[in-house]
Amino acid sequence: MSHDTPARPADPQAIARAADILGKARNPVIAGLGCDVDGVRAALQLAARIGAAIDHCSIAHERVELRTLADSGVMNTTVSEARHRADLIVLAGAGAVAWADHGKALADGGGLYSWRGDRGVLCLATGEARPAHVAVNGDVATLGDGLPLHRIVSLIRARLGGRPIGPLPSNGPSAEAIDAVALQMKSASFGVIVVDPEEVDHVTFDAIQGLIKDLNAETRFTSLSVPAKHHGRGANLVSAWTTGDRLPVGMGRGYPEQDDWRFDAERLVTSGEADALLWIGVLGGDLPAWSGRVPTVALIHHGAKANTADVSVEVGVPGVTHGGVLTDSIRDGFTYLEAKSPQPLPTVASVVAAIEAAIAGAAP
Amino acid sequence: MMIRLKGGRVVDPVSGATTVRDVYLKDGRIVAAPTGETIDETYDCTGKIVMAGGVDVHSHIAGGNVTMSRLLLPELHVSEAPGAEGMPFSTAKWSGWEIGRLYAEMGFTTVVEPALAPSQAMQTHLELADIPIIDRGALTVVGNDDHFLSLLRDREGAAALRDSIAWLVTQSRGLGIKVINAGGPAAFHSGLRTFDLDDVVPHYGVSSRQIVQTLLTAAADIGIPHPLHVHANNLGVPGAPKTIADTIAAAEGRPLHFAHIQFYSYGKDAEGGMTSGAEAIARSLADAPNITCDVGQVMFGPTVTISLDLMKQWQGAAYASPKKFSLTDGDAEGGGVVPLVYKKTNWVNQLQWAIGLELFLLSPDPWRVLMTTDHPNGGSFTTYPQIIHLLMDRGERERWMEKMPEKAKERTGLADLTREYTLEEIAIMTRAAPAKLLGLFDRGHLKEGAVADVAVYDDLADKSAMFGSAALVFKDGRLVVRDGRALGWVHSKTSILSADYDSQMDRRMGDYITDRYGVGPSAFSVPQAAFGDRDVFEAVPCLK
Repeated sequence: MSHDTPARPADPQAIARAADILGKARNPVIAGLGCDVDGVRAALQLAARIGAAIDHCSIAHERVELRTLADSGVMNTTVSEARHRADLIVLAGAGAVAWADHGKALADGGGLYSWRGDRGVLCLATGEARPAHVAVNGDVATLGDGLPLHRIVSLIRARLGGRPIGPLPSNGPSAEAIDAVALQMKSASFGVIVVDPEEVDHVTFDAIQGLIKDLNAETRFTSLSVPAKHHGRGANLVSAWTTGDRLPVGMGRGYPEQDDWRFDAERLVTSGEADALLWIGVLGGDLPAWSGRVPTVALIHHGAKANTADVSVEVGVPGVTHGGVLTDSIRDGFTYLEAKSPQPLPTVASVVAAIEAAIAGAAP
Repeated sequence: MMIRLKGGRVVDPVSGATTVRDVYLKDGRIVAAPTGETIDETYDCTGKIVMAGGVDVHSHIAGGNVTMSRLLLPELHVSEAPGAEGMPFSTAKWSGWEIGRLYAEMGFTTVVEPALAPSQAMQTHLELADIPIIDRGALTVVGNDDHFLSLLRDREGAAALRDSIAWLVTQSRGLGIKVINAGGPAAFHSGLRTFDLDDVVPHYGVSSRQIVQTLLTAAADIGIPHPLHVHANNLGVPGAPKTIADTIAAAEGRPLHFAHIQFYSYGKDAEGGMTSGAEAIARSLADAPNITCDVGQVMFGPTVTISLDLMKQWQGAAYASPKKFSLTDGDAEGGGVVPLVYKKTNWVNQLQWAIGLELFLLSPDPWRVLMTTDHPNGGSFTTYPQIIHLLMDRGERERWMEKMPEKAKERTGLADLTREYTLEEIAIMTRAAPAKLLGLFDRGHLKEGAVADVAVYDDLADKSAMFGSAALVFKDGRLVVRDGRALGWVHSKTSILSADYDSQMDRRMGDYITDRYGVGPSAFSVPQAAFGDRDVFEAVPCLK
């Protein structure tokens, strides 16, 4: 457990009620999982103890990005490497533009590699969206504003490979425009395609990776995914080294099993298969409406709005009220964050461990 | 508590000749035979072999690329059996928990992860801390990052170079330093696809040789106990024995450790085809007592290669099986993960297997040629018992070679090698030598005062069975394995160096990191607070 100030123990009565709900459940689910590394570790231990399914609310990170990794592999880079090294940033889809503008992570061109040369920016199927906060020399190039991303990616791949393309839609680009973009990408020394897994399916994500592998035959290209929300990246990494697999994982058989459908938290609850829910939402997201179908224990951050859980436990926020380890999306690595305004609130890890201890104590 | 291991055959060349005697453990240490003191527990080791706990100098057990391999290849590690009560995740395949259990059950008690990327240090240490039972350590990867290459390009003085390396080791909590295809990953970022010892990294004007020599100087100046750990250029390339010989010459007599040297022991025939280069490597090693290596033995079956050698991994991606890979252009190296199958029906794979064994059997000195599979790159660490069997039993080798394709047989001298390793040589190669090489002088042997990490084996003719399942294992004097089964979770330590450096380096590195990442240097530190109440680290002194 990571905390800089002595944590106040959680309300013993709430722990006892939470342990009662989760301990007697035949098929419990742990979900949300928006918390720090210690919280995820504790939740996985609890899942092993009570045979729970465990999932994170960053569904797209798992079912699109990490699924594609397992299906066919990926080539990727970090934000900081893209910022300094990329001479072509390709924003694929409006979500990529929104992310670039929101975090401004690519707002300056970096300066470590003096030989890089000019930075180009290319928007693929971004609708009308254009970045306002991405460093660029010259104009932002665009292709396929009116077409879906998967169609544009397929067209570019075909032309890069010298393959013919069928009739183009009237609202789409000309063959010449597609060829010009293919040439622009091939001419880059280090190109980076930015994509938001939240707005594509795994087939499109896979096609983008295919395009990148094709480009690497002659130059260097790679990808950057918009970071998962609510610490989804970190939670999945902790799960991978703890269970061997990404989330969701089921522990009902006494060993971890990974299955996106069987252990989908929402499906388990709404289908009636699950009979109790532990929701961990200290870093978000909010307790979902479907949680009302089963007895629910919710760990929520201090000051969160009242929710509908049967048992709510207020916990501190890592990096704010207590120290904790979270992923830093700029460099895609874990970082220990000290408390900005320490408060003696319990951590997720301490509360989950207390629930587990109470369940163990009550076991026959 | 005084523990007596009674009547075993103690194989510990560091303390002396093999004899039948008692070994005593107290308060986590090996102690002399007590006089008058009560013995609290006695374990009858009659007829058994008693050794120090095993030490592994190079095994990829933690970090971002190891976890990337978990995510890339779920089909290779489907869990199927519940673990023992009170040992959650003990049977979760490829988990850190399983790694700790499997090593301990073979009698290994210290394992070093050889690729600690400074920008990803926290993840590596989080993963290491979650590996139960065994002690851990990690080697900080240096030499390919922009900061270091810029210092070389700008002709900074030796003190600045030394301090920058000392800063990285200390900040990342490494136990030593390692360089990977020196300059190669940096060159790959810039589009190059091959890189040799005298090739120059584009835009920096720095050769691979210059990087290696600078790091050798820095390691000596800092007093890092472990020699510079080198993943050389030209991994897997026929003709690489020359690269090894050239790199040995570049070391100019200074201590240097070659990682997984089997992957460089490929000669060329007149048509350029692959042959064994083991004899050339053995000659190079015999002539250079300053050089150590681990073998990186290939064993058959599906596995995954994990490396920060981006250039090599991109080339290897064409041979991926199953056909998928990941390649991360990270800050400095990044990493590549490529699955492979070493097939008994493939003559190249058979030749790789044979070359590894040749290297062991031609070894001039068990203190200098250590056992590894470069887990998981050549095969899993769980094949160590089979490798020991092959080394100790010529008949076992002949049985394996019966199935070897002729094309492989005619390209290796393995069939002519009659040497059989002794238990004493095994004890040196898998215990004493790696511990000494890592600067972990309190282990790898059973002398008085040593850490009470002890493995007791049944004395069996079948060495695979003997070393695959230790009869008893003690970690810090505590019984952790009995009859080849771990008894529960205990948590051990990660050994780290604490190197001195000029405090100006804090400011310089802080400025650089802030420029590069837009975050302060604290984002890269690995504070004890990150592990809360868990006491994770144990400091090892530098030699200076």
